[in-house]
Amino acid sequence: MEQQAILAIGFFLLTYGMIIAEKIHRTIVAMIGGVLMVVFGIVDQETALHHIDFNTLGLLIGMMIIVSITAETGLFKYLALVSAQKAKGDPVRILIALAVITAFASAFLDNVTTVLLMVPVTFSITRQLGVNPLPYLISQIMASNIGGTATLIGDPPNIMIGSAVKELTFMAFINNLAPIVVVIMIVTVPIFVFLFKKQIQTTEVAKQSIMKMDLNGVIKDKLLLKKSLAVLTLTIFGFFLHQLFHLESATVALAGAFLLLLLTGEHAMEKALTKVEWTTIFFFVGLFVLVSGLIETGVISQLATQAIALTGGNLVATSMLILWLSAIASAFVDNIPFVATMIPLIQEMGNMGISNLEPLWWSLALGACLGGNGTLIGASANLIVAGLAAKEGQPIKFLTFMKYGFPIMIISIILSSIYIYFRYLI
Amino acid sequence: MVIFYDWNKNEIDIQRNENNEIDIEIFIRILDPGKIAGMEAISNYFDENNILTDVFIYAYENQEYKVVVRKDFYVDFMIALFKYRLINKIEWV
Repeated sequence: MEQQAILAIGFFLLTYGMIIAEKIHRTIVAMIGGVLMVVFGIVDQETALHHIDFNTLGLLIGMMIIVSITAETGLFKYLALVSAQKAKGDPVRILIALAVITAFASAFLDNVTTVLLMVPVTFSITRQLGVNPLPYLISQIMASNIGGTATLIGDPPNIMIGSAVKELTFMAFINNLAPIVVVIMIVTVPIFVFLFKKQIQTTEVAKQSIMKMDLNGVIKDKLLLKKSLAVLTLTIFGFFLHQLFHLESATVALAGAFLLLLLTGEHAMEKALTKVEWTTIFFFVGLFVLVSGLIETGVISQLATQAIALTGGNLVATSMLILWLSAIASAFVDNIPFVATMIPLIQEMGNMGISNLEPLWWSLALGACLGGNGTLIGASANLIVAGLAAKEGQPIKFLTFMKYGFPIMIISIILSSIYIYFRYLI
Repeated sequence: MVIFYDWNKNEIDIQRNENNEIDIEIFIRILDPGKIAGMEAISNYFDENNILTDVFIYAYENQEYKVVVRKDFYVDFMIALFKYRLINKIEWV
């Protein structure tokens, strides 16, 4: 192996190890890893820039702007409170309603944003009911990871896959992933109820206090709500049609974001731009450059050769290997760097003779997204909720989460294996 | 020392209950419509700050509010009531 390739592997493993160790912020680590690839001449700056996927970044930035402005209206709080009243203040029904809302919202917004919007109102409802908020928070984390799997824009691994493979449109993601996501939710929600029912008992008085709440003042700005909903609807409609108009999903999201800023006025822009999670954006930039070092030095193509040798090029074996490997890996390491590494590897498998890559892409998407439920460190949404809960004196312990999350992750991957096999491999 | 506060009984009605070891429950009824904006401003302030569980304000019909205040934020809430002139006197006794 060439010296440059060995150096690239060294920097990659060092960076990966430091991301897992979490001693230094993952964005700083990823950016330094990327910079090292350029400084040591493994990739030149021009090549590195070509490997940064603007479509992934533009889509994330656009959606973050739209959601941050929409959140100002109080819409998400209103939806949660209305559902709590529709559930007649019953804690179990509210658990189900909030999980379903989280899953649905996660399909069309990113998971981190969704849980950031849901956690405050969850604390508010559970305090009103006088019940432990942790069952609600844990079920929402899992629902966000499951729901986010359904669409191209729902979870960063899907954004990355959709951006790398042009044939996989927004509709293709929905057609191929939404059916199994619905099945997984139908199986998982009763499990949430079974696991948490005893922990969320309340009194009739508490239920009535939810029912009697006056929700008139919850929507803070009705005009802004109308504008936000119009643009959000237009943007999601744009995602459905982006291939027809030969537009990338980032173009749709950014067009929606800046149309909304045009409608809301200049004063909203500064605040909206500060709400963009720039740490996540730069994390992606660092990873794209880091992985470019492995691509340019031929390491990825070597790995693809070995993976094909391991499975004998058999599509069933390769799909199952990718699905389970992605799930287990994503449970313990951040799924974003994992998927950034797997995408060129699967593309390379295509160059080596596997003609039908579609089951491999769906296996990667399902494994990487659903694997995030395995442990507390499996996905960004998990860490965000755990951080917020700990700050409010309600820590979610690693083992407590794993006790619920790992079995649910295994069940969802078994269901995904059956789905992939029967839909694509026979 | 405890906080003593006083208010105009024609403008607002306040009842305080010790809820449990963590929370204090306060029932507020606004009698003077001119004070509603102040109550909404307080609600927005505690909704938008960085602490999610400090103060929960639940609105009901007839300008009635149930406020659940974490004991370590009780002083902050009372000062907010004072700031928006829902109470007109506050002191340590």
